[in-house]
Amino acid sequence: MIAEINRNPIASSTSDQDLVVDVRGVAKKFCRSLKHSLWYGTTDVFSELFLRRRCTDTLRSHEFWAIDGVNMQIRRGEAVGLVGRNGAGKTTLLRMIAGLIRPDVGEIRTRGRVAPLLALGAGFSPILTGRENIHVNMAVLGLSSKVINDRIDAVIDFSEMEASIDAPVRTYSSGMIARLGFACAIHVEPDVLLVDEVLAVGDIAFRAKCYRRLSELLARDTAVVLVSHNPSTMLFTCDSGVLLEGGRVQTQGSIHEVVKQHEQDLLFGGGDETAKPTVSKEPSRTGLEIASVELRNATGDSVDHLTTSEPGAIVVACRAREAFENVSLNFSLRNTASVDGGSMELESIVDGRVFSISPGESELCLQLPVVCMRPGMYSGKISVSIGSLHTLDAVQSFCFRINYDKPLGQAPAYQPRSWDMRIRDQTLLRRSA
Amino acid sequence: MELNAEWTIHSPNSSVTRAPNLLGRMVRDFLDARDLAWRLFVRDVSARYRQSLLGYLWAFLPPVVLTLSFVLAGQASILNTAGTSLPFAAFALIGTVLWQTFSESINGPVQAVTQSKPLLARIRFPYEAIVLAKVGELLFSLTIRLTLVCGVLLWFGIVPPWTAFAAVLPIAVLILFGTAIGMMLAPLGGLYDDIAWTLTLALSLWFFLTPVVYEQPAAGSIIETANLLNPVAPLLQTARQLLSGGELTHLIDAGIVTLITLPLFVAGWIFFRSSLAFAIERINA
Repeated sequence: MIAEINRNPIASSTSDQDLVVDVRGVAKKFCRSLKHSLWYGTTDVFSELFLRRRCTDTLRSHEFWAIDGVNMQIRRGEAVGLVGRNGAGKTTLLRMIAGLIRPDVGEIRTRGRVAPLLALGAGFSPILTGRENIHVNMAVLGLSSKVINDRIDAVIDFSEMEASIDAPVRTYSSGMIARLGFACAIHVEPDVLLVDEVLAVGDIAFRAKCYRRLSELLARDTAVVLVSHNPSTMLFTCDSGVLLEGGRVQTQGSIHEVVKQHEQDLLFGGGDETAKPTVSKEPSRTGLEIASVELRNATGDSVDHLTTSEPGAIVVACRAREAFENVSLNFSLRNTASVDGGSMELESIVDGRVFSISPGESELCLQLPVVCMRPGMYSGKISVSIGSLHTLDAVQSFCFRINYDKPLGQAPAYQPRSWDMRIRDQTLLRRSA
Repeated sequence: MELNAEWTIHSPNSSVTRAPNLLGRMVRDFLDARDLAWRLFVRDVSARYRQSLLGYLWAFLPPVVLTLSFVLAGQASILNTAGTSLPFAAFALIGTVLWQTFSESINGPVQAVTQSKPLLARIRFPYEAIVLAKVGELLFSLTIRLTLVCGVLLWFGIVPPWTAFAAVLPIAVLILFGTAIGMMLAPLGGLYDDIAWTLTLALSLWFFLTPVVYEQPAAGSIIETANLLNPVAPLLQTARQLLSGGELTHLIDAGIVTLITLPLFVAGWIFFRSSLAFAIERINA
C-alpha cells in the first residue's frame, strides 16, 4: 500500500487557485493497547529529541491503519461530507486536516484559517461566564482581542443567549454550550470549517439557523467538511462526499452517490447480498434443544432468503428428550439498519397457539402468509419456552435477509393488496340505450 | 475574500527541529501566542479565586504557613535556626517564596499540558501560550508574595535597599531554569502520570537540598555537597541577599548557572514544541 502511495505522481493541483485543503496519500496508524500506545509515544518523543528519523510507514505490534491511503481535495466554497460507520476514520481525518495529529504517510496541505468544531465548547471553563468563555474560545481559535471585541455582540446575538451570557457556564445545558461553541466557531470566519456531528444537539430551530449560517459561509467561499450520520443533512448541505470504510476511501464523488452507497452498506451490513442465514446459539441443558432454523418459501422448499410480498416460513427444528406441554415459539425480529432499534415481537402463546412436544424431533413453524417486512438484513432472537417465561432453548442471533425486487420507497412496510372494480348499477345505461 | 497564499503542510517529516529558520519561527510563534496567553492567564487567575471565600489570601497563605512551621521547628530546637544573616522568620519567608516560585515554574508546563488536554486534543493553537499563561500566573502570585516579604522585612526593621530591584535578575533565571526543565518533562507528562507524581516527590527532596530554610549546612554533610552542585542554590541565595540588602556570596556561581540556563531554556522550548504533538495524538487516540 505504501509503495503505491509513494509512487503517486505529485499532481499539479497545488497550483489550483481555489484549492484550500489537499490530502495526498495520507495514512495514520493507531494503537489499540493503551500501554503500547503510551510507550510508542515516548519512543517518538525521544527519537525527536535525538533527531533520529522515525520509521513511520510500518506497523508496530498492536497497531493498525486507522486511515489508509486517503486522497481528497477541497476547494473554496465547497462542502464535503464525510460518511461512514463509527470508527471508519472520519474524525481522525478531520483531526489531521485540523493539524492536531500528523499523518504517518503522505501529506496534508491547508491554506488559510482552519476552524475545527470537533467538540463544542472545548476549553470552556465551567466557573467563568459565557461572555468570558467566548473571549477565551475565540482567542484559542486564533483571533486577536480587538477582533473578538468587535465580534462578541454578533456571537451573543447569534447564540440567542443574551439573558444568561453573564452566568457561569456550569449553569448551562449541553444545548446552550453547543450554541455558544458553534456561534464562536462561525464568527471566526474561517477559510475551512470542520464540523464533526456537533450540530446534532440543540433544538430544531437553532439547528436550522446553523445550517442557514453554513450555507451563507459557503456562499462566501468558506470550505466546509461535515461529518454527520443524518443522510438528509448531508444531501441538503454538501455537494460532494467521501465514504470511508475501515480507514479507506470506498466511494468518492457526488454526495448522492456516496450517501446511497453508505445506506446500501448499512442495509446489507456491508456483506454481499447473497449471504446465507447464520445461526449462533449456546448449548441447552433443559431437555429440549433447537437443532436448526431454516427459511422456506411458498412451496415449502428451503431457501436462503425471504421475499417481501411473497409467502414464507421460518421453521425451527427441535430435539426433545422428554415431553413438554404448553410450549410457545417466540421471535424478536429486528432490521439491522433500522435507526430507532424497534423490533417485532411474535409469540405463539400471545396469539393463542401452544404446542405439545413429544420426545424426538419436531418442527415448529412460523407461517407468514405474506412477508410484509421491508427488505434488508434482519437479526432475530428465537426462543422456545413453556408459557412465556420458562425458556427451554434460545437462538441468540439468527441473521437472515429479506429481498424485494420492486421499489418500496420510504414505506414503513409492504402492504399486501389487490385492485378491483365492480359495477354497481347498469340500469342507467340500459335506460338511455 | 483573498486567500493567503501560504500553505501549511502536515507531513510525517515536518519535524519541528529540522524546520528552516527554527529560531525565527519560534520567536514569531511566541509573539503570536502572547494575546492568547493573556486570555488564558486572565481565565485561570479569575477562575482560580472565584470559587473561594478567602480569594487572593490563598496566594499568601502557603509561604506563611510553611515559614511558621519552620519557625516553630526552630523554637523547639528541631531545626538549627541560629546563625542566619537575617532574623530567621524573614530569612525563611524569603526562601520559601523564592522556592515556591521555582517549584511552580517547573510544575507550570507539566500542569499546563495536563489541564489543557481537552483543548489540545481539539484545537490547533500555538502551544507556547499555555506555558506562557502559567508563567504569568506565577508572576502574579510572586508579586503578591513579594509585597508580603516587603511587609515582613519592614516589620523586622530592615528597609530593602534600592538595589533590591536587581533581585529581578536571579528570579528571572530561576523561573527560566524551572520552566526549561518543566517544558522538557511536559510532553512525557502528557503521556504518563508518573511524571507529575515523580516531580512532586523530587521537589520535596530538592527543597531540603537547597538552602531555603538554612544557610550553612555542616561541613562534610551530604547536603553541603548537594548545595555545591545544586543550580538552584546560588540563584536563590543571591536573590535573597539582594532583596534583604545582604552581602552577595554566590555571585560567580549564579553567573555560571545563568550561562547554562539560557541554552537550556532554548533546548527545552524546542523539545516542547517538537514533542508535544506526539503526546497530543495519544491523548485522544
